[in-house]
Amino acid sequence: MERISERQAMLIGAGIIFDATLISIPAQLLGVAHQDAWLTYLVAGVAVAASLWLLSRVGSRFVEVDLYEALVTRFKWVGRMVVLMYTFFVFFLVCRDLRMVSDFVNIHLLQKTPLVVISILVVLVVVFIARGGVELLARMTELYLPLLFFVVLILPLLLGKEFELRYYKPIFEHGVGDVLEGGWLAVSYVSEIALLPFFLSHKVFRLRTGLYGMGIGVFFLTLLIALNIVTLGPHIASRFMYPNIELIRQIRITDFLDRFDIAIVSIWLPSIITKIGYLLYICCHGIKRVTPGMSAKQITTAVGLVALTCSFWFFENSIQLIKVNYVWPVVATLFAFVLPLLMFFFLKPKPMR
Amino acid sequence: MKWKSLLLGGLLMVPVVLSGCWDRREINDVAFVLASGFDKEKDQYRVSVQVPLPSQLGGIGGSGGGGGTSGDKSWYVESMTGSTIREANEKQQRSLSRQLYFAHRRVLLIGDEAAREGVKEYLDILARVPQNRLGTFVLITKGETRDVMNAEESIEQTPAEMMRELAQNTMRKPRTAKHFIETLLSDGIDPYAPAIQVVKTQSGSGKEKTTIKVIGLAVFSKGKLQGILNPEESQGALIAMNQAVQPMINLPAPKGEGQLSILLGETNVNIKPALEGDKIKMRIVVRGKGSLIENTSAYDVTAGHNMEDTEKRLDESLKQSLQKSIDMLRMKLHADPIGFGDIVYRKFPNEWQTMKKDWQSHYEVMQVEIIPEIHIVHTGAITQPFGYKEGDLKQ
Repeated sequence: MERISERQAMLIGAGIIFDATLISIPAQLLGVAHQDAWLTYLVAGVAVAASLWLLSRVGSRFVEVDLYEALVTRFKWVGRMVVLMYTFFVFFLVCRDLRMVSDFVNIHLLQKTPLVVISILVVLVVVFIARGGVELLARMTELYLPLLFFVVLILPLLLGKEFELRYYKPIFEHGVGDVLEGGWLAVSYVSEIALLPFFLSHKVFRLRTGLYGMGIGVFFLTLLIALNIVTLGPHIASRFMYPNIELIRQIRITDFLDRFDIAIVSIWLPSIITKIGYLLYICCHGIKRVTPGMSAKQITTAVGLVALTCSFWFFENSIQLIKVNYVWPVVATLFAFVLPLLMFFFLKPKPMR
Repeated sequence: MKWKSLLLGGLLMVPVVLSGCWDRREINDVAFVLASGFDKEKDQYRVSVQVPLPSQLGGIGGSGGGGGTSGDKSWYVESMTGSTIREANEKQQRSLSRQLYFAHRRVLLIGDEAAREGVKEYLDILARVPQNRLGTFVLITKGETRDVMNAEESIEQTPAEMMRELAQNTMRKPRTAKHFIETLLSDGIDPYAPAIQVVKTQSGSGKEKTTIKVIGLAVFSKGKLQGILNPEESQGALIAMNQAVQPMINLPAPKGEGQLSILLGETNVNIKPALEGDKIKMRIVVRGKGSLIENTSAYDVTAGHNMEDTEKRLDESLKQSLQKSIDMLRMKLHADPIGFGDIVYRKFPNEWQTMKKDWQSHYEVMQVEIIPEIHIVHTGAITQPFGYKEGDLKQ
């Protein structure tokens, strides 16, 4: 069993929340909650904390193993079905994130390159990362994520002169309902941290680890969306596909420090690719649990290529990636709240005779 | 087994080669667009672009402008019409051997006639294609944009660079397209932009050439150009927006002929709204530090209580200037670039919901109280007026 430390698990948690969310949902949050959008991640964080608590309680009953193994050993057929459901869920996440990255690169960076070529390149890297196992994932996270967080932390300094602080007022102009709606949308992304107990044993991933990881991820997401509000303003920011990229394009400190956006994107891209790597690893891990005698490493390439095809099949155009954000919270609620709740009540070790 | 690793190696090399081909852009196949101009001819859009000619640009360190010894310009302007802006660009591309590249466009010009019809349609392409940047400055031109872009004399290498620097110098925090669009999309505040025009230099007979001049501040309302305030009229508005770059106020000397010129090095304006029933009251406090920069009269500012007296007259003059600008904006032009509506919105959001439907009527009857508090810090390197004898000084 590969070992990773608690700190690495915490960073993986933060990375899973942060990397993909910053190009997927901020525009919709700004469209729904306007200038109060910075509160939405906090609402989602509170809800997901409950889910993490449920999962850590279940995990504490099976200390040595991760939840996939617990499910499969305790309930032979129902357990396998639940694992299969989660695997399909994660597979869909892989397709979605893959398509998101490819779309982003196609729109902003390489306009003439065919989408397939970009996707193939990303899948190749993702497959290599996922084949390396949890240790490799953890080490890559430790390398790129702190650097990314450092960049996000200095953004307020770099963007200071573009701030219009009045943009965040008036608070709760349309009441709390908009913030709650935004929180509902954000739950679909923040709840991805609930996948971690399924492939990390309770020894490594405790409630404390999960909460710290989620706290870090939500903090940086909130910082970014707050910067969006005071720099771009809610009207412009909600119309962009990727408002965070437009945010970093505003960095201009005299003619010398201009056009920093490519540099920052080059720090972010390895993180998102690593994140897709986690998801692919969880997916293959789940398949391995369901079918005996399968080596997770060997099927990674195959699953990666199927995900590539499905990412084109499931989403016709970039707008469908936006539309899925409005229905996804229901699915995420099922996998992050309903199933963990059922597991909390029913998944207990066999009573010792 | 060796062939397996060779095959793998070969397959791995393929994406490396594939990834660069489509978006490869050779630097000598690119025509950098420095400035774009939008005009409207009936229902067609006229787009003009200014492109530098690299071979004529000369060596490093040369800020020697056009009209050099050989008489060749280092740039040229191309202009085409089309039913959308993109279509006009495609037509321009057909007469250019290099790809138009908009990422370095620093200035966006909109002709005043086109702006009067509405600016909303020009802004979509600014954001949709990532190559365009929202950091461009938006300027309004009096007359057609290509006339301004074709100005002969320019202290910078290209007129586009000159326009960019002029735009930056008109305001303390130069307003880019991002701010222009944000104010366009918000209620309660209207966009504004510097207005420029091509003029002839007054160098003397026979030597006049055309150059670019800032003629004032263009103000908009409901997405359409309402008018251009000249520099005197716009000074009050710019001070109220905290955008004036070291404004200068001329006061007539209280005794004798001549004028006192006072430069306000720092100004800070604070606008506080108050609601009295249905009426809005705006309290504008102008704090600033000034210095006497020129005295063409015999009046001795340093004698007796003359400094305090001058400060009082300066306050009064500033108050009148601001009042005049605000009244002109609300009564004549029906525009709100200072953002009084926005200020009401941020402080009283509930009342704003009812007011915004008919903001113009509230705006016109709004009570404006201007409280200037300017302090003259020094009179420069000399104290008494330099050209006058002791006995002629008026105290």
